[in-house]
Amino acid sequence: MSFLKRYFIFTMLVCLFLTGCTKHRIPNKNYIENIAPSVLFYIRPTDDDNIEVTTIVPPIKKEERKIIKSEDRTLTGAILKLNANYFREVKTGQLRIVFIDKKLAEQGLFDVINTFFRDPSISQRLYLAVVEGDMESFLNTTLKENIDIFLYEKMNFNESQGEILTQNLHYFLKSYYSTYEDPYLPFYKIENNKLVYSGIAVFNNDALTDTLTLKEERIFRLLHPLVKYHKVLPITICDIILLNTKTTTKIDFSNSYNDVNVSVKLSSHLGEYKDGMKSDIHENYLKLEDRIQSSLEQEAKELVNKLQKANSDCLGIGRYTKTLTQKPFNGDTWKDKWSSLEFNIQFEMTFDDLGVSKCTKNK
Amino acid sequence: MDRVNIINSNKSYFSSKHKIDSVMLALLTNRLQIIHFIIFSTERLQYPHMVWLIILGGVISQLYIYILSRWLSSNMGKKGVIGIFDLFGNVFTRIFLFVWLCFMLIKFIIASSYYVYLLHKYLMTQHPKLTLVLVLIISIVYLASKGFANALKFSVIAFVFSIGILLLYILLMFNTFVSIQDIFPLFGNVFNSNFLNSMLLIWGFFSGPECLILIGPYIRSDVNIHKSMFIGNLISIIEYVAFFLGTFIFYGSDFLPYVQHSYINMINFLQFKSIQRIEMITLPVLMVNFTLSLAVILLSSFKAIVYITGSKKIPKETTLTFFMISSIFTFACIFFILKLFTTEIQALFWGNVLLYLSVFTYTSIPAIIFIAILAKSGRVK
Repeated sequence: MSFLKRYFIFTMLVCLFLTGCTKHRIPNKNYIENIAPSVLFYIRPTDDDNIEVTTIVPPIKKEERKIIKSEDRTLTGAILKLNANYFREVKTGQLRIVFIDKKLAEQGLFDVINTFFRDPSISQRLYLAVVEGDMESFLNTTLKENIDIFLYEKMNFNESQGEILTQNLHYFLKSYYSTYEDPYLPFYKIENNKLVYSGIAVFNNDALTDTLTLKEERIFRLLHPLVKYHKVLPITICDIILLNTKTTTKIDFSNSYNDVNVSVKLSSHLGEYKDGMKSDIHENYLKLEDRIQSSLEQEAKELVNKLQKANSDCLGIGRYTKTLTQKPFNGDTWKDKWSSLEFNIQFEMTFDDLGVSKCTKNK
Repeated sequence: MDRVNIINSNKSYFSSKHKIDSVMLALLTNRLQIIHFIIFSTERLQYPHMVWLIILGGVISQLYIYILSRWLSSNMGKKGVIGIFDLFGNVFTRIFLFVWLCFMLIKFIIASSYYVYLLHKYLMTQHPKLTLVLVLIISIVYLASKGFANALKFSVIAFVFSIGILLLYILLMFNTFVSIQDIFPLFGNVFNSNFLNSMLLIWGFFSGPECLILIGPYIRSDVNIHKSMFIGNLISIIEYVAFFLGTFIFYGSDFLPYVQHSYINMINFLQFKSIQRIEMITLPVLMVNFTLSLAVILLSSFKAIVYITGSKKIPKETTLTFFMISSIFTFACIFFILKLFTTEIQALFWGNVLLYLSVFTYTSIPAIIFIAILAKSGRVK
């Protein structure tokens, strides 16, 4: 009897917890047949100042995939309107990548980003990227290849160990709110209906001000104090590839904070070289180091000038003005200072390995 | 079996074969403090150098812990509620216990509602709050029905479960884009305009052990109470400091003021191959802390009510009274959460009420007991 009683009470409790109370129930039946959890969004502005959202449905099921899009004054409104074009409800819980059109990024991104941040169902690891060109036709042609999941896996891999810079929602917002830093996003271009990684989009506050090319992006990563490892580093001036480069960056400010010394120490393996160094590499490597240093210094200066013109400290140099006891800049004062800062950049390059072969054969 | 449950009503809550040892007491002190930390959250301490204030608060808290431990290890404290009768006399004890009971009731209601609010906000946004509060309260009442000694032992389980979450936070610190500069400057002027508010908040973090004044009979006699509680408070200090600096490394000092409930939000960033939404596990696991603390409050209140209303020297603690009192608490909670705790503004308001209440109780109750002990010993001499 007592067992029956207990069993009865247990069943009642389970029923109560599983069903909730019907009176307060909000119609929200997340059956997998009824929802379409989107993985990728593409957001672009329309001509009449609306926001257009494009996504691919269904993300996982083996049905015919298609692109749906809708536009509205607000982002959430546009997402909700997507449902009118499809027989399932588009959900944002599995959203992983958001591609943002360059034009929208130039106008300012904060309203878009803030919408994603406010929603607790969206992960803070949402990858963000800026894209230029006809993204829609690219998505259309690659629909069948599960392009959204492919792109997510690609970014996920590159975040930890790859050679493509990625940026997620959390770090974008962190550098956006920071008084010492400006955000950056990876920049993609559509060329011949292919999505090509082509550098970095540089932001001042939340508005895109400039883009860096792939060549500049490498120098950007070399200079960035928190990026400490580079698997491949091509030196364009003399066709040399450096492998497994480790960098240590040291940033010193003068007392008046008008000048900054950036010294970068590189130690790397010599991968491949094509230049006129057909003689013994063991004799000439000192010259080679000097050449690499001067070419890197030249390119770094150009990059910093470009960033100063774009009024964007996306390298996060300003963070190093803070010491254990003081914080000299408050509010917008650092950003005013940034464009007039005098840079003194030094590279110190050493080979810690020259490769297995002793010397190249003289022809 | 000397454990007491609802069905077997003849046994007393005084069953004293199973008593808690020093480790349990340390972890209990720590867990009672941590729920305040989860509720109040650190974002309001805008600057990294406030970490010194946390350490200062912890040191002052050690003083209060000393007073409480002196009470618990005294002859009167070992008798629990009867000891309080000995200390204050018949009339004053009833007044004292009644006031203490009112505070504990409010604390119980707000703390449980706040946890349900967090659960509703971050995890089950479209689920009715009533079910959530029922789950929490039924777990509390179940734990409390097992008797005082068993409920206190739950502290080990609560600690083991929830310390894992702190270890998860350490994973966040191994990210690539993390720099030590984010917690600079570590030294600065702490006596700024925000000093008083920060100090109140920090004092609120350390409150909680004042609920323990009645647990004297359930501590083994060979336990060094002061040492155990001291270690519990020390664990809290270490935990708070580590977490506080961690939020600054993760969010940076400029982004942090825009984030709500950083203790819960931070875990959102973690992703593993096997499980991607780790906060779906961690947030419900935090419930064990609330269950433990609130069960201690419920049991203490039950004792207080029985002794206030009872006319005899040792009144009978029956299951019926326990059941009635816990249903009063339950209905008060449900009413509160459905009528007075519905909007975000109200949540902020009640959070502040809980903060001031905790500060007040943690300051006044040990102080009153200390003065009473001093007066009593003076009178005896």
